[in-house]
Amino acid sequence: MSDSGIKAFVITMIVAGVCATTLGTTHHLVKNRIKRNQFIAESRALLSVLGFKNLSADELEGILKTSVRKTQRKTGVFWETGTGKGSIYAVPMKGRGLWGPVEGFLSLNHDLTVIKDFMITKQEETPGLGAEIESEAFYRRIRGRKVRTSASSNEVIFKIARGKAANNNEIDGITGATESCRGTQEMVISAIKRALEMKNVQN
Amino acid sequence: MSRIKTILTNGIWYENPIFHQVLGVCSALAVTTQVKNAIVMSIAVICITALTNFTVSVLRKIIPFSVRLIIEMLIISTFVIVFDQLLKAYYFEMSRELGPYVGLIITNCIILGRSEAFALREGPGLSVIDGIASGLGYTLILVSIAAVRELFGAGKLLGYSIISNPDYHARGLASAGGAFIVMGILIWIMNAIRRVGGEK
Amino acid sequence: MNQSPLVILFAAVLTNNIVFSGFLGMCSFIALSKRIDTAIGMGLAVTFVSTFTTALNWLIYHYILKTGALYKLTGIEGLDGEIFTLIVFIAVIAAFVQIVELAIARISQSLYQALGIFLPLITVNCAILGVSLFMVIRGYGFLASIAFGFGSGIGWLLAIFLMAGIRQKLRFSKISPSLEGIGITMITTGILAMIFMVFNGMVRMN
Repeated sequence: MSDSGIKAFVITMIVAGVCATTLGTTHHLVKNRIKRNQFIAESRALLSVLGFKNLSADELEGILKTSVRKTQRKTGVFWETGTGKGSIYAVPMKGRGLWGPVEGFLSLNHDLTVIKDFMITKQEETPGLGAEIESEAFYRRIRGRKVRTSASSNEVIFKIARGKAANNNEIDGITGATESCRGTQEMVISAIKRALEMKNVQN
Repeated sequence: MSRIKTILTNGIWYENPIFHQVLGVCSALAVTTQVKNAIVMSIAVICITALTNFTVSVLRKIIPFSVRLIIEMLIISTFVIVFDQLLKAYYFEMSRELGPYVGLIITNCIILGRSEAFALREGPGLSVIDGIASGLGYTLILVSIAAVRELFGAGKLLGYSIISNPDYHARGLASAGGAFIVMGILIWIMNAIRRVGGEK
Repeated sequence: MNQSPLVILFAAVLTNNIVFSGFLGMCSFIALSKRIDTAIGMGLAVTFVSTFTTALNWLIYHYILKTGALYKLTGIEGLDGEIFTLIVFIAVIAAFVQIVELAIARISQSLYQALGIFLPLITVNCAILGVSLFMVIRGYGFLASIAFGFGSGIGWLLAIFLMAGIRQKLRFSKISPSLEGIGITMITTGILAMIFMVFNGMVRMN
């Protein structure tokens, strides 16, 4: 290797070293903050579907400890708050939309017949179209839907229409976002079925 | 003083990186569904271009020509990752919205283009100004596109509802195709203004 | 979430085309779509590089950089390469491009003449880095990643090929002088993007 080659190599290595140190230091300094942010975002969504809205970051942890019971099973995880007929169950949802994975939380009433609340935490759908599944207007259509005719029925009724709902069993879809709606529909149904399974094991 | 003025006007208008040199278009389109995202993205590009220009300019005498591209990429990547980490730590919501497009600033050709064309030749002070000027030129386009798309596509501006009736929203503007068309028309208007102004 | 590599390949070419829905690789897309032959040359080079760098980056990410992987590899606690992901990806791409350039120059002069000038441009083609980043974010497996890298390259080739065809014809049309060049190219791209939206719903991508 010629002298200039060695010089080029040494200088590149020095620059690379400085860059790596800078990155390492930055990461070390903000690591915990980032972890905490992720935890806060996740907990806030979970607590929101369980009915604890507008909490400050400091309140989250306390409520998670005192008012929410977490149960881990082989088939999944669920959270519970309240007692008897006032209890609410929350399950995580995972599905896929048009562009990529969709995730969120869903909560149901004590006998799992009515959707209490619904929230999307992650989606990559088309802004202005499919991305509207992550909007208060869309959540409002889902809240309070009856998804099973009785506590003993195993059939889950949940249908997002293409456009306006045709009958009482459907909810209004988002025009131009058929795929995102279909993905959401499947995701909700599978989450409810999983919740039923876990509840049955529990009883 | 006049030198600084030339650099600023060149960066923002006469040699605007996006519509004159066609650099950095990629990220310009993906984040322009909302003005807020466009502004944060622009701030990132202004800071990173200025810092990279400064660093490259300081090191310009000792960087061997053969490895200059690699060194420039290293410097750019470092600044981008640091920005990404800071965003995640202090503005978590925004980092979720921008997603991988913050990381893609690395391949935003404006930054490499400016350090190649300017910072390798000029002193650190002027290089910083050049970086800021190019960044501002980028901001001008980004925010204009975002304003059109957010206002007419979703009826909002900076998140405040302006056109509340969804029947009047041109949803197509929010889609990828809409972004390209808005940008094309914007370039058309800007070129027309230049022509009226008597430039070639 | 396991999606068949074939579905991902199809989706990356048509429904999730990297130019029309991801806005990636635009700079060279506009600069090199004036003629069909250069467009095809660049498209092939992008496909080649994106397929191999995605595979390389997948291996590096999953065996070295991913949180926890470095610990498994070395046994030293507290080592985490996640933060270096971006910088390593871009270095791999740059190094790969450099090696390919040298190899092509040695092997075939005619191929070097045809592809050589495009290769250095690829390092800053955000489509390549974008593919590697999306692969990590969407959690693809190894085969799926290769399919995604290859499909995105083909998708980019298809996009630039269509654009070059249109631009060759556009030369004979009368356009407002202010709209010529980038302006009309952007608008045409927009219309093409809307046409590609028709493919939506044929497959679903994960």
